[in-house]
Amino acid sequence: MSHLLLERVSKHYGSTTVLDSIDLAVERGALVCLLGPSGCGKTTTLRLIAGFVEPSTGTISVGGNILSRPGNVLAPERRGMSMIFQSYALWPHMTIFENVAFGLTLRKFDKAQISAAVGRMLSAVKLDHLAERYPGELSGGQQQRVALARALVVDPEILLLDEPLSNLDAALREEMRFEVRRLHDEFRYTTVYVTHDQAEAMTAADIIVVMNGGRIEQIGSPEDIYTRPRSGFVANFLGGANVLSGKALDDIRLDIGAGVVRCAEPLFTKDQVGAFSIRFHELDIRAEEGVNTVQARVTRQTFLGATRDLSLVLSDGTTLRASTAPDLRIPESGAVWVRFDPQRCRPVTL
Amino acid sequence: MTATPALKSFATADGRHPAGIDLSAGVLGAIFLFLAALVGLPLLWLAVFAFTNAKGMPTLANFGDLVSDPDLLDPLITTFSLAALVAVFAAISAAPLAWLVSRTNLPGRRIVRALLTASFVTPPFLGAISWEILAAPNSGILNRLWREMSGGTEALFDIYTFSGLVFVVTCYTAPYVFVVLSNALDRIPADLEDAAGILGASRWRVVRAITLPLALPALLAGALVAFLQAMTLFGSPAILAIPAGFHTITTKIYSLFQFPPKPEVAAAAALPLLIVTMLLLFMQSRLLGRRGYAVVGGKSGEARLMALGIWRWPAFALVMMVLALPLFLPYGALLKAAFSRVPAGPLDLASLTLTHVNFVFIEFSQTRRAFANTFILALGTASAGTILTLLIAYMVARQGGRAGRLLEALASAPLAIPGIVLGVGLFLAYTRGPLVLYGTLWILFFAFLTIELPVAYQQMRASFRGLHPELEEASRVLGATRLGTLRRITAPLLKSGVIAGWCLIFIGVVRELSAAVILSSQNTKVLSVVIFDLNESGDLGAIAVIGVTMLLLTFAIIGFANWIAGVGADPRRAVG
Repeated sequence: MSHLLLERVSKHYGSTTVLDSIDLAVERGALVCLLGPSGCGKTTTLRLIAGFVEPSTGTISVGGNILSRPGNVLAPERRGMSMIFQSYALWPHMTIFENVAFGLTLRKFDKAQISAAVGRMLSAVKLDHLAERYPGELSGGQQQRVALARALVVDPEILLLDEPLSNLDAALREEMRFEVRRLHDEFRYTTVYVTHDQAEAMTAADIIVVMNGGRIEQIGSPEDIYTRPRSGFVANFLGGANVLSGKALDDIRLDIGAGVVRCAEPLFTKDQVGAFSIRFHELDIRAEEGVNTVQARVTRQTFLGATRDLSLVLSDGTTLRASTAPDLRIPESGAVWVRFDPQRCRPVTL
Repeated sequence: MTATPALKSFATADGRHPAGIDLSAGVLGAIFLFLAALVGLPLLWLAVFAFTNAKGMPTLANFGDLVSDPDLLDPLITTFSLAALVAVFAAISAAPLAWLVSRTNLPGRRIVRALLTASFVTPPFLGAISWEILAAPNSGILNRLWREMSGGTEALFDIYTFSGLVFVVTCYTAPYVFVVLSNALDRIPADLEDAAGILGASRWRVVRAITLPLALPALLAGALVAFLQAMTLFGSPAILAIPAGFHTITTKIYSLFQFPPKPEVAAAAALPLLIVTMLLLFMQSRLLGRRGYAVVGGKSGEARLMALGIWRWPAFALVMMVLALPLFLPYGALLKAAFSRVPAGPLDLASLTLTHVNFVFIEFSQTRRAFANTFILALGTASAGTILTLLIAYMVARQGGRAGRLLEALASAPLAIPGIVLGVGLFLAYTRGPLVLYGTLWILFFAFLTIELPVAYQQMRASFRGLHPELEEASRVLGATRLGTLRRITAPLLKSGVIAGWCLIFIGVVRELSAAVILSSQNTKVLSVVIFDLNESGDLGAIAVIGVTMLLLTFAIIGFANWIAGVGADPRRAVG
């Protein structure tokens, strides 16, 4: 049975719907990433789980006990959860030690226990030498690790992270992605992690939940979501992809206007509109016509070192992006053929 | 090339760029000299007098008198006890108020905030006189009511005591603490409180462990402001302490100007006030400048207001009772005194009268002249001060550098000069050659300009801070001239800030007493001084009429200024 369960949870502010009846089940010890563009409802979902926001419909339960339902929300302080904020929210008037010890003091541990537990946790995040400093004296990465230590030391039922790395610079962000994953492997708390950065989600998560416009688009492992996106949005948001649509000639072939493309999986319905996605680097640019090819013209090419980035336009005006080998030679006229590998053309919903 | 007609002025016929005449160096120099004279001269004369005797010989005897003569030492002790007690009581009363207004779901929070801010407009001396009407031992309204109810002859309150003075000064000083503290409470990021909440801290625990410690530096800074206010105040002690037979340092300085005048002793007595003020201001800027602690930035959600539950309405009642002390009771007393024969008599139709109104506006010749003087000075100082501080702020913001910092320091310096000290300095500076201004409105004009300079400058600086230079540069790049940019970009964006600055000066001038009482003469009396004189002759009804009229006119002027600001105001202003 799943540990954290959201059932048909919605959130409306007046006539605005922020969250539209989402269902989510998280297994004990799993790290789940809520991934999506800003305004997709991911932070609202997190604050609903924390108890800062009351749901308009639906229930949120942990271990079978309902914590939130409309009109009845257990206060955040009584949920045994921990949360890491985008701003870290370290208390500037307390030392690092006092910050980390705060939750334990509330739980009435005695002095010796607190000092032992805080010491253990600070060395787990490699900050034991800074225990007596104040947050203002630490770098961004160090503050981030204090926030992690403060959240983990209380042995939380569920750990919530709200865009925890977005205030760090690029290099540090990459390092902290692995740090978050390492600490999760060490402590294995049920974790919900909110981010808009797909690389962050891919590195950290067991399960990725892609959200868009207050709805869940797809749930799955990072590999699953990347290789088998179910919607055009998911394909585009994770890694970027061309999404092409047209009328299905049968269950496997689509008339995209500039030509007919055959996919490997028989998922289309004859005479209805279908769509498939194909990633930029999966398009095969060649000089001659072949099997499953469509004619195109190169409108712009950019040399990026490891790859060459092409903008293409099909005869019906559809534009495509392709990422090819850097040494590819494009004829003066720009006229090329694009081959669609049927194995790479994944039917998606629009 | 359709755009060329507009661009043709970019080059002159001989191909060189037209050179604009740069006036800024000259203007900068002139402002600098003016400010240096404005602030420096009075202080210089103050120092000269403090260190010379009546014959003009250098001496330290004036300071010897200060510590040995009990007539001078006692006021010094009284002043510091008063200031310390006021600071403590103002902090104690303002802290819960600020917390309730900023951080809880108290009913009518916005109204409470507006009312407390409005009590700034009340001149402290008017507040003190209102409390005379309420709590004078024999005639005070509250004491009359008490005697009627208890049947006794004892007075419940006696406002003419040291504790009465502490009470009244606290009433009109606590709003300063409130404003400093509630601004700080508004700025505490909600994340910091949420972080404690999710770790298991109850609402009260969050308040105690997180909110209050973070607001503590602001509370201390607010208490320092209260201390300063109480220490340099002249009106309230002059009205309440002198009848009670004791002096504070400011009333002592004033009495040293009565016959026989001893300006050199007054100058010596003013110096400690000046030095302590500078020290306290330095401490305060350290407290607030560091913002206490570095608060980490980042997006933070809307503050969660604490639900008071069943305590909501009791808390509201408490707040209203507190607000009664500086606002409802005194204003009620003032209105009653203005329109009834005997201020403290029972309230009935028979006692209603227009005698006081008639006296003030028809019989009493001084009033009309004082009204005229006050409004000429208020309008003149507000307009001149606005232009001056606008120029200074512009120079500092766009010039910067050492010259800018020096200019800024000069414009802020009067903050450290208590009104009565400046009054003494100006008196000493302009009762002798080369420039004899005593007896004219000009000396009051310079006094008010100096006193209001720092507040107005800070207002202008804040406006310029919100105006990024790139907004002007974008206009210049598109082809607007310097003046065109000023007219079409800078001025509209600064408008509301400038009007706010003008209003601040206007209010400040109308309520100023401590410098005016020393500098005004028979023909240059302003309203505050007339009220002060009438109080000495016990004419409370007339005072009430003048006071009410003064407040109404002030509100009308502010309303008018805000109406001007509102005409054509742009709701998208926040972009600036």
